[in-house]
Amino acid sequence: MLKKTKFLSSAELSEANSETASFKNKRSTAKRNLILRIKRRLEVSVGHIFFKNPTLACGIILAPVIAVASTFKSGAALAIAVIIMCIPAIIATGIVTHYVPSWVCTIIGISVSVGMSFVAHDVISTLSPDIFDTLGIYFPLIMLSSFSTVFSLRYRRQKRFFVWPVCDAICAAAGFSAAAILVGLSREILAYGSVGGVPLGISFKISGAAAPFFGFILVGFFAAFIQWVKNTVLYFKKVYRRKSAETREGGAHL
Amino acid sequence: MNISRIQKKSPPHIRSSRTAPLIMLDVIVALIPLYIMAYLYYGFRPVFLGVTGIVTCLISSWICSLISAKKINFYDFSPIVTGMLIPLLLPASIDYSIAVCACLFAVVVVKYPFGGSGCNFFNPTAAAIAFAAFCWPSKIFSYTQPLEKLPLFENITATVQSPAYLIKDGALPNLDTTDLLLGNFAGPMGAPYILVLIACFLFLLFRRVVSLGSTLSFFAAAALMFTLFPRISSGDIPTLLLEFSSGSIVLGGIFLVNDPATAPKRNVPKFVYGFFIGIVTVLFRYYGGFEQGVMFAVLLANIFSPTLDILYEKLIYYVRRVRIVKENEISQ
Repeated sequence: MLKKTKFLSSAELSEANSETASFKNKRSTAKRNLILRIKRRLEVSVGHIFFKNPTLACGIILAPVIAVASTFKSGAALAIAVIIMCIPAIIATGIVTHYVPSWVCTIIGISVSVGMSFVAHDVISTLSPDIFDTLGIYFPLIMLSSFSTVFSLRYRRQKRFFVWPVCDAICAAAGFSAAAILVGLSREILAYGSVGGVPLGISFKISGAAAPFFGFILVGFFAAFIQWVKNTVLYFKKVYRRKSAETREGGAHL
Repeated sequence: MNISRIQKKSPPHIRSSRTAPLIMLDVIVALIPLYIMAYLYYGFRPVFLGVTGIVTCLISSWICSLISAKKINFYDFSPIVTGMLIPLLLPASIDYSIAVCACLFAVVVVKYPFGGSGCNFFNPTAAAIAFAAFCWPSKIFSYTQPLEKLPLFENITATVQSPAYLIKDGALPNLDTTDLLLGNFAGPMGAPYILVLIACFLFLLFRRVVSLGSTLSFFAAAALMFTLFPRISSGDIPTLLLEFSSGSIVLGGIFLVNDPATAPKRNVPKFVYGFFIGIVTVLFRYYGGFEQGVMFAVLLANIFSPTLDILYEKLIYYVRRVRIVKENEISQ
């Protein structure tokens, strides 16, 4: 039997259309909000590379950068060690933090770092055995860093979503690598006039640049530079928002 | 009371006629004779080094003021004092690049990150010389013989060791008293001229720029250490004269110990501060890696400078409290 098609009156039709429209509006608003949330969360992750750099802004794993990163190669070795040891540790603690107490998270993070340290040792020794010796006591100290603990405490307050620990781990490791390589490069150019052992032909050298005290001063200046850039960007954002609000108000009055 | 005649002004309300620019001007005037002596001994090179130091310190302090969003204070003569003092502690044969680096370190690293003029924690000149000594030890402690005009811009390679190095090595420098007093031997550009330095000190003392307590206690402590533990055995007076003439003890005792920003503010702490620097300077000279130690001793003492003032204040309050309690007991 054929179903009878029910014809709606104009009022019922407009009501049905408005319900559909509001439902469509709600769906599109929810989608927009989700995209905004993801965008903001990604900004937080990507911020670890520069404005919230773990070494220059948060002071994590500072001692190896100051003491060991006196050449480009040693800075790169530190970066490789942190990438191999700390990324899995942050991901592991990010996943288990909702299921276990925080002190267990710390133990898990350190255990993962210790496990990955053998891989890091093999990789760095294969690339350059001399550089591994220069890392000295700071190589085992990276295993005990507070990298994974700091992130696991953050994930406790957020919803379970395993993608964010991965993003944060990669961005934080990238930020640390950038800082270590930058500090090592600067100190090698100043102290030895070379990059990665290749002389640049600079005759003026500051031999004290290879000493830890110079590393301390250099890291301080880089940290101050990051803060200055951040404050400048925030200032210009505020000015831009104020101007756009004023133009919008001016347009509304007209 | 006529309220309309009351004027609103910001503190301090009790002001002295001696202002910071005047104090700095007095120090600049006291440093000029040292540059004249350096010119007589080494030619125009020391003067050019001084000018380079002044220009470097001025430009870097202006840039630092702009970066920290402050107005440039053209009446702040402290960069000029720093720029004049640093080359005087270096050899006349030093490269211009090293003098520039030392001046930049003094202003950009030691002075402005801590707040600028008057707020620095460490003596910028002492820190700059310590930095230069650490980075270029062979060049900082290699000198030329005086009364030889040095070329203006060429690199100088023919250098000799100073009497301070010879004494540290256990040798006795072959110098007479006149040479020692007039600075007629290889040494820092502005440090060996004892008689001229004494005249500069008397001028600064008359102008009430330096403190007699800290300077005398510094020299007394150093003299005590040199007398009690002599390194060279040639009679007491020549030992003292040799030890004070070699190196930059006298220049450091007059200009570095009396830095108004980093020295204690009270008289008794100044005395203790000078005494401490004197002892530590001699210890650095005897056991340190370098032949000179006054800049390291000054930096070490700068750490304790605020503590000395605080401890002295507490002591004063305690003594007054005890006195008041005793007086109350007696009156009762």
